[in-house]
Amino acid sequence: MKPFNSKYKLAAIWTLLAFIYLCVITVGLKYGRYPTSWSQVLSIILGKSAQCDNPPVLKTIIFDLRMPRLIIATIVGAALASAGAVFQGLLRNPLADPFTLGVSTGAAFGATIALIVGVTSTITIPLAAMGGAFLTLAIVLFLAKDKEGLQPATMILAGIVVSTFLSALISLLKSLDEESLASIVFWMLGSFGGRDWSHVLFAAPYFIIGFLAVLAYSRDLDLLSLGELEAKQLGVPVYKSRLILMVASCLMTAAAVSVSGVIGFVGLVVPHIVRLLQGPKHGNLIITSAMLGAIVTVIADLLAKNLLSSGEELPVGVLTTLIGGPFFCYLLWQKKRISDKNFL
Amino acid sequence: MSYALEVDNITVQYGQTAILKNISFTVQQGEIIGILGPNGSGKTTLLKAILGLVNLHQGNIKILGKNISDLTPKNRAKLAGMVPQKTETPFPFSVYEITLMGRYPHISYWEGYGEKDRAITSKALKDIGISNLANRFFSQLSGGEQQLSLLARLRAQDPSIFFLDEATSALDIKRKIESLDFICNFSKYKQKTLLTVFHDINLAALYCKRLLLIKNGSIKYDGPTSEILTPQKIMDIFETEVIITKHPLTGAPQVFFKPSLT
Repeated sequence: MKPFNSKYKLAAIWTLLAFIYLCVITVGLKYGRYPTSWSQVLSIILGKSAQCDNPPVLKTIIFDLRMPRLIIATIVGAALASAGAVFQGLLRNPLADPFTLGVSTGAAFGATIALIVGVTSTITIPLAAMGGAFLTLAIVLFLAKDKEGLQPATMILAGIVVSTFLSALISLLKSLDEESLASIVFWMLGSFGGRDWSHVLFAAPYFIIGFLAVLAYSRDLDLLSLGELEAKQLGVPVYKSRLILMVASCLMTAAAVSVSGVIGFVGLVVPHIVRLLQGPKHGNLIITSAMLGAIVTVIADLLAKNLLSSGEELPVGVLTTLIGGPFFCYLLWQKKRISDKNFL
Repeated sequence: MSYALEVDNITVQYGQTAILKNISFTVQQGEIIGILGPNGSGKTTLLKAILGLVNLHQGNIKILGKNISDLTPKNRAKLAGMVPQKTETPFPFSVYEITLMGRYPHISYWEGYGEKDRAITSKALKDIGISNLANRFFSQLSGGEQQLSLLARLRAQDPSIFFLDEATSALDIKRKIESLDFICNFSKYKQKTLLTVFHDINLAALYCKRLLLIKNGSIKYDGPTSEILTPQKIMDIFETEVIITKHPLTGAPQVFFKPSLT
């Protein structure tokens, strides 16, 4: 009764995405400010650099600059997209994502505070970002909770309000403290510039823990997306499951924001596309969203890095929003045209 | 003697308003009970309270001898399950996926749904007669087809006690009779206990040997259908004048209404 081809379809989607990802990564290793040829890239990856008489700096560029940056983009994209998928399911609202819930801005706010008080260590700033993310989630949860439980619609409203408020605070701090202006702009707009292995090592564990947790609770999430009462009726320990899913997604978001700043629209748009491709079951949705999110973010970063001929970098968050905004409008327009309320 | 269900003096309040007041009754295993009452009398809240979905202000509920407050949600869902009036999801789940969710209380976190669960789901869809809807989007179905899907889900969940909250109200006559026939025969055959909220008094009388009549959050009458369905009691509960006769085949009491046409 279950269509047999759905299993193969999923396998096909995953294989295709894995292939695209490898292609994108390979391209990503070649292109950058320092001109490199394919033979140089290949010889370095294969460990035969010595035979080909490459300039020694090239090895450093590929292994210590381009590669960690690609991996950071991968982690951030995967984290934001899978957190978006979870938030949308939890709140039963296709407009939920780490950004609309205020979690991303909360993390950026935490980082800004750390910068203002003069912290510069690569470990303390991400930790401050995480603190900001969790604190924001706690405030949003507190605002959205009433006697009968958590109100998803209120939660999105609260998220947007808190997020706007924190953005304004960040702008205020920015104008008061001109010295750290550049780094605060970085948190607001998002960028992978200057990221290295220490950032990879910082973000990866939180991402992996959060990702495994949401996968383990993906079936609870399926039931929770039918509504609290239905989930409870079918035996889901609603409060526990929801808390775990929320904290895990918050952890992934905070890990992402803490190393890249606020990158918009990946968490919102990617789960939508994946749902169209393969259906709403959250286990597979989370996995595919993570893959597609990684691909989208890596491509966006490559464009941000190489688009301007002057060699200047664009903030990647600007780019994802520039692409994601119109794309989201297109999805909404399609939805209206088909006039099918389950299109998204 | 152990009961399938013991409801002991429960009261449920939303804010200051009492929705259920001092309700007590017991149910034997395998009983088929109809719950009747006017709009807002607390029928749905009663089912929710028994399933532990709303907080009790006072009182105690036991399912198969176990206190519901001592049961984990999963274990409770193995003992008692419900077809709600309706379910909404913003996501395009298929009927098969919705039905499979009935297996949730039987699976573990890491293993997920197995072959056995899929087989039971297919069987449930077949039992309810909606195998042909398996791949359709749940939210695009008609109200009646959605009710059938939720019935299939409860069949897949396979608890000992079934609660139906007007679960056949949107079905056409053929589907209504077929589903009620199936559920009641199934419950007799497997010794499942069945509590059903009805709007249609005659259907309740046809399928249930015992009726609970609820008004303003209290049980007014509880007993065998033949004793409960009298013009006085219907008048008391529904404030409507009726004539009662016997069903020509089964002998169950059936109600006729008196229109006041001019």
